[in-house]
Amino acid sequence: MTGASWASVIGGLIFLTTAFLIHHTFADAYQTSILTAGRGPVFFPRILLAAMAGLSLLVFIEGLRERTARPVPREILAATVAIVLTGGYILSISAAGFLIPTVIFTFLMPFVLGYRNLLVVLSIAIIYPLAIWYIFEKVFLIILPSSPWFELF
Amino acid sequence: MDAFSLGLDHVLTLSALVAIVIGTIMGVAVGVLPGLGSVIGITMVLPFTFSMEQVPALALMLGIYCGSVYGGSISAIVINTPGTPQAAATALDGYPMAQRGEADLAIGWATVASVTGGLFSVGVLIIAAPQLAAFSLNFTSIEYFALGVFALICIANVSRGAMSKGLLAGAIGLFLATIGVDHVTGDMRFTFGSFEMTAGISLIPAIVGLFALSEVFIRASESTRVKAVIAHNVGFRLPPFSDWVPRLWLLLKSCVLGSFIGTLPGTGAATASFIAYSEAKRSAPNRDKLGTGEPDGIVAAESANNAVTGSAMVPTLALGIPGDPVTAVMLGTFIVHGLAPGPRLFTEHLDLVYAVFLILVVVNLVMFVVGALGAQIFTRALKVPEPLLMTMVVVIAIVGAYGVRGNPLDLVTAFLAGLGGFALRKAGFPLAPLVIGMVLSEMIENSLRQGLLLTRGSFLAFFERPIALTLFILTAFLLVWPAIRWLRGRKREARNDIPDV
Repeated sequence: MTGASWASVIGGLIFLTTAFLIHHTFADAYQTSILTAGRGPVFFPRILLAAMAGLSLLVFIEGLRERTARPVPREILAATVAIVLTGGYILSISAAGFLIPTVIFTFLMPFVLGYRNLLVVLSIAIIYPLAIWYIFEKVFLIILPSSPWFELF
Repeated sequence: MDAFSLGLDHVLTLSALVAIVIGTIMGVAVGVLPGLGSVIGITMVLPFTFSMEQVPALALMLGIYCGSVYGGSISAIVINTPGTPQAAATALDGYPMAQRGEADLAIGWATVASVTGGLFSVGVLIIAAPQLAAFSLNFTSIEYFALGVFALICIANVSRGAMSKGLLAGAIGLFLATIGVDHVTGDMRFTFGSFEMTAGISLIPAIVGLFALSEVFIRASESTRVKAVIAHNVGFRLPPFSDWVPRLWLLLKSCVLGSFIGTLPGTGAATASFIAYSEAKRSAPNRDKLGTGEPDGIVAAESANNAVTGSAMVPTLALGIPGDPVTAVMLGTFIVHGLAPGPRLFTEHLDLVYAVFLILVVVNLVMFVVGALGAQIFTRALKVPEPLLMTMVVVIAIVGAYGVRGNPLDLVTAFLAGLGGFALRKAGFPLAPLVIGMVLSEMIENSLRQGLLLTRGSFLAFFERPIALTLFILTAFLLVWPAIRWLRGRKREARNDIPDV
């Protein structure tokens, strides 16, 4: 089974974003500067955006001719869960510090990626984040985000 | 004290030597594991270098860089799965040798060829980089603009069959780097009122996301996983010198090929190894046996891909223009550690340049010892389950992204870059032009604007300078060449369609 190719979808999205950004370069905020041989701050970005518009349109058209096999739902689900889990992990670091979210993430992610040995995962989820935290905080003295609940980490 | 002695002093410290050994060991380990590769390897160790001194930090990075290129050959030989794309050609003869029970000998050939290629390319770097840097002192902003555009188009052009995607990726990279404060006028560009965006998009978090996180997402979206089935006796056996004698010319030729290809933007070690392999297939003493477990194939591929490591640093160190994502990351890490590659590096910090040269020599020598003693141990790393490995990569990559500035916004940048990288890779976009675009954007924009000031706003005056004109002509040729090739292909097809009378 085939569907719209990734290339045409991505090409189309980039084209729309580029069109918006080109429109944005005509905002009043950019019209004040007369430096650099009469060329303002959006002189170079406009050249790039024009090139991006043309190229994204080309990619979109080329993509229409591509035939892409429709991805397996299980694979889409695994990728989506991996992305959501990573996004959640990153966002929670700011709120809960490095160590706690890392332990949770290191415990959950192997299951998402298809590994099922609970004992191994549990060991890694405890040892690895602690080792990383200790090495950076105590040995390299690089301060990682700390949690609002505990003084130590 | 002269610059060379100072450079030697920098390297002959305990911390630098330990960093070289650890970096090389880690590099080989990263290379052995399929899917990690040099870029992810360097971004993984980057956070460890934040609290290190300049030279040990560089030593660690260079060790990872060279070690990872070599390490890929071990898994290529043992499990027929190259740990890095650079080692793909090695598997063609390495794995058949392993199947014959000669994995240890194949690793021996690969190790000696890699070390020879690596040392050869350091020689090229030592000779060529200072010359290029001295020559580039004559460059004005117009030449730099032409050079930047040429390098970017080269890299985009390498994306064979996807040139429009390569060019688009390059343009996106250039654009992303313009976000934030315009350093000439002081205006905010594309920040949409966000204070956090005024500093722009940080390069290292973007690279972490584009390469490390997108790799994890890609792996999650694919059900096929690399399974390490190690059925051979792995070890290290040095081929006798008498076996080397008939292959010395092949070795030298592959070193020269690899070093030359390494200096060209956008090509890299994978291209070098395949070109050298093709050349071996055309002219090697045992060319008829290539592909059946013939050491000639390993010698050609491994000496060529390692010969790229030093020569790829020539434009990076001398001009500040990286040729591929690996050297782009290296350039980024050099900057993080207060070293700005370019011609001024050779006049202001010649001692550090010598230190880099010496580190590369020592790394290649250490690589031999590491390969000889550790081949068996590294192969065991292949038994680490991929999901565990990928999880660990995400965590260490996140620390790397955060550690550069200690700014939580960089974590968001890394995640968004990972998401973008995933979507682009799924759509067949190459990521190399995007990264190189981000690295070169400031230089290209500044040199364009300065050039226009020099020429009083005239674009045509850019073509009056011979070096710039040559580079513009080469760039135009690179842009037009795919169309010419396509037209020639169509003509050939049309001729073939004419029925014989």
